[in-house]
Amino acid sequence: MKWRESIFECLLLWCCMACPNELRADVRAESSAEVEDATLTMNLVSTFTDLDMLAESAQTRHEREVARMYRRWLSIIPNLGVFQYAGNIGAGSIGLGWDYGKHERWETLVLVGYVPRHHNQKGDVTFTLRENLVPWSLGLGTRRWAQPVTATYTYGRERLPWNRRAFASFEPAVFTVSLSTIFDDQFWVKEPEKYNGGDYYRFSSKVRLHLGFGSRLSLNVPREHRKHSDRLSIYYELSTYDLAIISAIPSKKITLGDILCLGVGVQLKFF
Amino acid sequence: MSKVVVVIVAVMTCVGCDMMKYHPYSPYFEGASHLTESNLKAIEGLGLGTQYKFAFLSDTQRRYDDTDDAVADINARGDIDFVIHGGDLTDFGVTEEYVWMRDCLAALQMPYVSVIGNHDFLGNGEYIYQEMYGALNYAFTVGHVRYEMLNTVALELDYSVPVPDFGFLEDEVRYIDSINAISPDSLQRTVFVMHSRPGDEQFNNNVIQPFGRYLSMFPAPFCLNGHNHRFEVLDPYENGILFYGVTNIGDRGYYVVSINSDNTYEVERIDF
Repeated sequence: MKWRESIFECLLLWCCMACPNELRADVRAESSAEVEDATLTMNLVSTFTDLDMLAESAQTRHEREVARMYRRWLSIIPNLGVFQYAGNIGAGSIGLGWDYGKHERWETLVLVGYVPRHHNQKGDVTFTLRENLVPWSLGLGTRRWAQPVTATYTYGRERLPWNRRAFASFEPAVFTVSLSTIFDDQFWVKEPEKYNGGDYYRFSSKVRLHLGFGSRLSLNVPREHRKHSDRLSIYYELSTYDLAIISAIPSKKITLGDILCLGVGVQLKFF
Repeated sequence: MSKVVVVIVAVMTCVGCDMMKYHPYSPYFEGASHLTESNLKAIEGLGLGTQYKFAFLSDTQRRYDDTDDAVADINARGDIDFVIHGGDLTDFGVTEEYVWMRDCLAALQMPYVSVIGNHDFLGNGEYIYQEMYGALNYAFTVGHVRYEMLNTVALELDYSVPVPDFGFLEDEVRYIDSINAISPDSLQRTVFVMHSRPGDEQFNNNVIQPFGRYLSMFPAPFCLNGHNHRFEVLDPYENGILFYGVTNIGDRGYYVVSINSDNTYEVERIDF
């Protein structure tokens, strides 16, 4: 939590420079107060993230512009972390991402993976751009946790969605589209000129398109136990990729089971 | 948190291990490897004399059903002693394609050997080929015939590696000479197996003539090649050294080559 506080404090300081006097004094009073960590963070965040207020109290065009700028930059802080084992994008992959849209149904993730060396071949690093669609989330259990500290920011003044208030939630379907690339000189996006002027193989060996389907079990971490994240999910993903589909379609021998690939992972929602 | 780790480890170790693939071009694969070595031993173990038959098929990439049919056809004949594959086992050089094709060819009731094709080089395919099959240039003897299995896809290696490997051919000429010096006429014929033949865009066409000269240094050579997806018999050097091009397996054809004890041979085209 320390690092996040520092980031917020840092941002807050910046913000103060552009803030009207009343707000600045208010924030300073709160910063200096010896209050409990969680309360401090909540106050800081809600003060800072309540950018509408900031914008309202901005007196000049420049101050309003600064408030707008902060709102935009805030939205690109990634709030998802992910680790995945296998899944055709590397033996292990780690990544960061963002969720957005109504009920946070959409997620965009970037992952870096590693394909380990084996026998005569060196290891390769992969990069994956992933889009998840999580159409449904079923709440499990009835306990209601307190609002997360960033609720105001994330949800405006509305209440938490019911699946986030539950003890846990189950997402039965997660649809995934990924583009992955491999960092290795032997692979090409567009085939080199040497192959009949670049018109022979007619595919890219470097970029793979993956289509996946999976499920996810999420635990909404109780506020008093919250350390790094307020939601922790485990998931599996069954996926396949363009070249495998092309191979399987004309063949009776290659079945869906042959081309499916299982990946498992952990996803954290930081805020 | 510890429970979560336990669950993940359990899932990783117990459920669908072979479904947990790392990457399409990952060098990991399950099952048989170094097949060239083991199949050469198997061919040696057949104890073939100077009269035998082998089948030559090529370019089976992404044609698993047709390959199955060809394998069944070859098995049903009952007179084939071993099989030679002319390269392009895969279309994209993907590890799974290598595995699927290996599993198709595993149904052959006789040993088979192969040369590498240009498609097999794509991505990390070159390394997977070496792991699954073995060397890119190698030779073996059956009866009175020496088989020279050559990598001739120079374009894939950007001419940075000697393809065709004249050092290898020089060693082979010397080897055959030394064997024939000890027991005359023990090696009376040479069969060259390659994926692309001289003149193809994949061949190093700067060395067409030197390659031809080397061929003529071997005893009674003829050549088998794939790559062009059509049946053709050519005499590119106009010196009687014939190149038998075989069609791809999608075209449902292969060759049966009979080696006779009087040092003649027949190449029969089979359509199945």
